[in-house]
Formats: sequence, structure tokens, C-alpha cells
Amino acid sequence: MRGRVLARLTGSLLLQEIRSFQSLFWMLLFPVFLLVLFGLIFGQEGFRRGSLVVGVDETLRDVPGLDLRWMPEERKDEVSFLWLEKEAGLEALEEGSVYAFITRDPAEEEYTVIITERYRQFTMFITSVMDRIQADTFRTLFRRKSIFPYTVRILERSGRSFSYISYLLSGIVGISLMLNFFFTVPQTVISYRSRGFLKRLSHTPLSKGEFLTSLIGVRGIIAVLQVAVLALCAALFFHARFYVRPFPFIVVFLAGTASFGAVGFFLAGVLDTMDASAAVAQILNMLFMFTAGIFFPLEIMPAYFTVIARFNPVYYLSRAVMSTLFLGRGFGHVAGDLLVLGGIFVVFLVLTLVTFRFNRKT
Amino acid sequence: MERKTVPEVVRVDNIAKAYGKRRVLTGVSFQVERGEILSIVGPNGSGKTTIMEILEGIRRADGGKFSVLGSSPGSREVRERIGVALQDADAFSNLRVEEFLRLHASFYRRCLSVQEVLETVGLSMIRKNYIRGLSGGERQKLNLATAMMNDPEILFLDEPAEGLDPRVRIELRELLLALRRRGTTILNTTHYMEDAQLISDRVAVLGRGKIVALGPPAELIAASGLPKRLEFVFREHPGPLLRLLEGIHTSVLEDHRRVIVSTPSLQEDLVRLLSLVRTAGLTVESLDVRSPTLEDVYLNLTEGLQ
Repeated sequence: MRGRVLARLTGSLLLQEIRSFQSLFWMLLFPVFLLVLFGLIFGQEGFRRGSLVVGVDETLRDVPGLDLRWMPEERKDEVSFLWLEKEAGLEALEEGSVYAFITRDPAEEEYTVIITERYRQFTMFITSVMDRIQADTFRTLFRRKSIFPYTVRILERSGRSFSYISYLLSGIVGISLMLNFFFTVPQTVISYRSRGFLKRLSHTPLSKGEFLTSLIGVRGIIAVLQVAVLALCAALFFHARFYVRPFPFIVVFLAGTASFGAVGFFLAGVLDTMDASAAVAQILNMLFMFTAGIFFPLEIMPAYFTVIARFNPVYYLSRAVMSTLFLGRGFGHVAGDLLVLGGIFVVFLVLTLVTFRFNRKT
Repeated sequence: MERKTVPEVVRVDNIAKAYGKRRVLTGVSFQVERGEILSIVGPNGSGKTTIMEILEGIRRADGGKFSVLGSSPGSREVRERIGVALQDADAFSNLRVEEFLRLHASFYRRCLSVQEVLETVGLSMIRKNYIRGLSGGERQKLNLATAMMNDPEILFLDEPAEGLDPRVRIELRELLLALRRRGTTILNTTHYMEDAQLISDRVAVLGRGKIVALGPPAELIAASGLPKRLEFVFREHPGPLLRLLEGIHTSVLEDHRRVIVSTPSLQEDLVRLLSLVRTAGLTVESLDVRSPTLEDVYLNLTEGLQ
């Protein structure tokens, strides 16, 4: 790899991109459009207008008959439930990602509803909600006839801000990277190949590795631009607040770039026409966009979405971005996500090196 | 870098290539001497581009031996020393001409200055223009400019004159001759026989996967045995002359006043024909003597090969 060549080629590829209105639209305007659209619809008042997001201790899954999906339809507008481990639940509570966390000491019969100082003024409201929950929802959920005992406890530490926009922005960062690599990379490479530009390069001393590295570099720079513009829009228009862990965030970002880039280059290697690449990219984009829980939390989606999300790289990336960009979490929380993204990178890098070609099929 | 110097900069020995069941090359052999221009001509699909791509190192041959600058084509060392102008290669449309050449220059260890190359190909006036706005001729010149950036020992040109207007074709021919004077070896494919005849030291005619003729254009023409042609234009319809020529000469009535007569012996036939014209009572408006061209030789050699 020659640094001078990489710098010149990366710069030229970048100029080629940013001097095209179509590229600029997909690079910057489209993600901002998504952010603004969904932000305006859902993002001004927390998760969902008029709803409470309540965390529920994972251990309560063992309670016979408990299934949050049985929640009556009319209550879904008021309360959304998230299953969380106790530690994560308390952390989410502290960070403000849930309004309250319901747990129970195994030794005791009584349930505890923990709220934060931040929502102290809502204590009465939460109590009334709990009463109503007891009256019908929980009775349904727990399939109990009797009212169960509970206390409301206030977690003394003040929580961090967490809103729908933070949640949305994390997902849109994931989507932007996905569009950047699954759609733009194959389209760009196939276009260069069909127009003979890659053939032209193959006659020069430029190596395949130098070309691929430059192309990834360009997409990486564009992705950084995207994140910066999106974050700026989220902060300006929706008052999003960031709790960034810089180093873990950079690692997450690089892992996402590398793994999505590898998938994009693999597609560019195996597909030969712009039409084929557009079709495959659209299918993947739609599939991954709606099964990553980006626009709506997976917890309010049908249960099988959660299973599908496990096979969706965007899910892991947006989760890791949310942890490191908004929740101030470190490597401990995103190790699993990084492992998945790393695995995707390794598998598709190998496939890319085998399948990538400068020339059209004869 | 120490350069290997060999008399033949390109050596091709019995190469073969098939695409699926279609055999494109079935034993092609030739050599290219340092500093010469060799043009490869042949019908569409005859394998001209395949030969070029094999020698450029981007396509594998099924059999045979070949070398470029004494090494295996496609190696980094060879790519540092050759230049390739492709028939159908596009450039980054959103870059300016000089930006694109600077990019190309960066790939090589040794290169000419962008300004020098722009002046050589006649693009310095539009060096700031975006590539997307260039005309066909300007794009071909840019192709040539990129191929020249590393001051190559061999230039591979795949149909460089394709789609160019006559004036730009003349400029291109002059440019290629200027490059040869600088010592650049040029391997060129073309469909323009006039270009091949005017600039080539030697021409290779491809047909049915083999080279059917190879040599200097003048020698190919002389060896072809094709007759000279006398082209008469008469004031009247030349019917009486055509009747007199029946069984004596091969003659063709091109239109109602033009007659072309093939002649193996110009001196004798010209006198006899003028006598027959007088006998037929015709008035000659013009008379041209046409020697056979490379195009005639090509058409003769490749007849029925397409």
C-alpha cells in the first residue's frame, strides 16, 4: 500500500462523489429527511406521545402466565414495557430510557416500582398508572384476580436524557451506513466496471487492495460526514443530548464501516449489472431497515421481529451506536455487538477477496 | 529501476484463446520491435482486442507463449512501463481533466509532468474542464494522455480513432508518429485502414483466429497482386465502351457515367483503353489512376471470413 496513491485516489473518488447531486442526496439529504420526518412525528415528546416506557425485571418472565404481549390493546397507547435485566433496567432508569422499572426481590411478595429523581413530579401519576395497571392490565398479565402489593421507590441519582430522537438517530446512523455500503458501493463499483474505469485502473500499477482501501476510505469519510450532519440536526432541531464515549464509539463506527463495507464489496463482486445490484440492495435495505427496530422499538413489535433482528447486522450496529453515542457506555456493553460485526467483516472480507474483479464477465 | 532491453519488446508465440466453445485465437504469432508501430486489423470479433488484453495482462491465454518487455504481462514491473488507451474506458466524469491526469500520474513511480502531456495531446486549453463535458475527440485524447502519463516504452491503443471526425483523426495520426519519433513502441488495433497504412511500420491482418498477413503496408500491397484501377467519368452513358470491353477487361459501371477498369499493366492498357474510348465515341470528363490500398488488400484477404 502506497500512502501517496491512497491519498490521491481517495481524494479523487471523494470529489467524484460530492460533485454529484444524486450522491449528495443519498449521502446527506435522505438520512436527514428520515430523521426530520420521524423526529417530527414521534420525537418531540419522548418515546411516544402520552406513553410511558416501563422496564420490567427479566426474572419476572418466570412468573406463570406473564406475557407482556397480552397487554390489552387500549393500554398499549399508555404504557410500553421493556424486558430488562435488573442491572440494565436500573441503568436504563438512571439514563432516562425508561420512566420506571418494576422489579421484585425473590424473597419478598411485594413488587417495587423504582422511579428516578427526574420523574419525582410524576410519582403521583405513576402511582395512579400502577393502580390502573393493577386494576386491569397486570391482572390480565399475571392472570391474577387479586391485587398485588407494590411500593414506589425513587432512585436518588438523576438520570440522563434519553428520547425517541436519540433512539431514532442511532438507527438512522445504522441505516446510513447500510445505504452507504449495501447500495452505493455495489452501484459505484458496477458503474465503474461497466464503464471500463476499473479496467483502465487494472492496467496501471494500482493494486486491487489500494483501490478497495481507497473506496472504503471514501465511504468512511462520507459516513463520518453523515453522522456529523445527523447529529447536528438532532441537536439543533430535536435537542438531542449526547453522552459519547469517544473511543468505544469510534471502534463501533469503524466496525460498522468495515463489516458493511465488506458486504457491499462482496455484492459488487458477485453482481454484474446496475439493475441486479439495485434490486438486491433494495431488498436488503427494506428487510434490514424494518427488522432492526429503528423506527419503532422491537419491544412493541410482534415477537418474531425480535428473532429476525438477531440476523440483522443493522440491529447490532444501531444498538452499539446508541450505547456509545447516547448512553455513554463502554466496551463492556458493546462487546457482543462488536463481535457480531467483526464476524460479518471477516466472513465477507474473505468472500470479497475471492470474488472481487476489475473487469466485466466475458 | 534497471530496465531490461530486448530487441523485441513484444513476443507472441502461438497463442490460443476460446470463449466457451467459440475459438477466437488459434495460434497467433508475431513480434514487435522496439520503436515500431504495429497495427492489428481484422473483422469485428476476430480477436484483436483479445490479443491486446492478453498482452496487457488482464486476460489469460489458453495456450502459447508471450512476453512484454521480456517479462510476463500483468506484472507490476511491466505495468510501470506500458501505457494503455482503451476503446471503451470512461473516466471519472466529475473530475477536471488535469485532476484526472494527476490521479493517473500518482499510480506510477516515474511520470511526465501533467502540463507536458496536456500540451502533447493538445488538451492544455481545456485542462480545467470537467470530463463530463468533453467531446468524443477530447475524450480519446484524454485516453491517450492517461496512457502517456508514465512515458511508456510501449503504448497499447485499442481502436484509438473510433468515432473521431477526420480532422481529429489526422491530429491523432500526427501524435502517434511524434511518439514513435520519441522511441515509443506502439501496438495499435484499428478498423481504419487509411490510418494503419499511413502510420504503421507493419500491419498484421487477423482472420479466423490466425494472422493471415503480416508486413509493411507497401509490401502487403505489392504482394497482394491486386491491379491498379482506371476510373473514367464520361459526359455520356458509357454503354458502347462497356460492350467493347466485354471479355477484354474487368470493368464495373459505378453509376450511369462512371466506369472503373482494373488493369494489371497500366502503360499498355491505358493506351488501348483510350483508343477504345475514341472508338465508342465517348467524351472523357476525368480520369484517375488508383493504386491498390491497404483497404483493398484487407478486403481481399478477409473476404468471407466474417
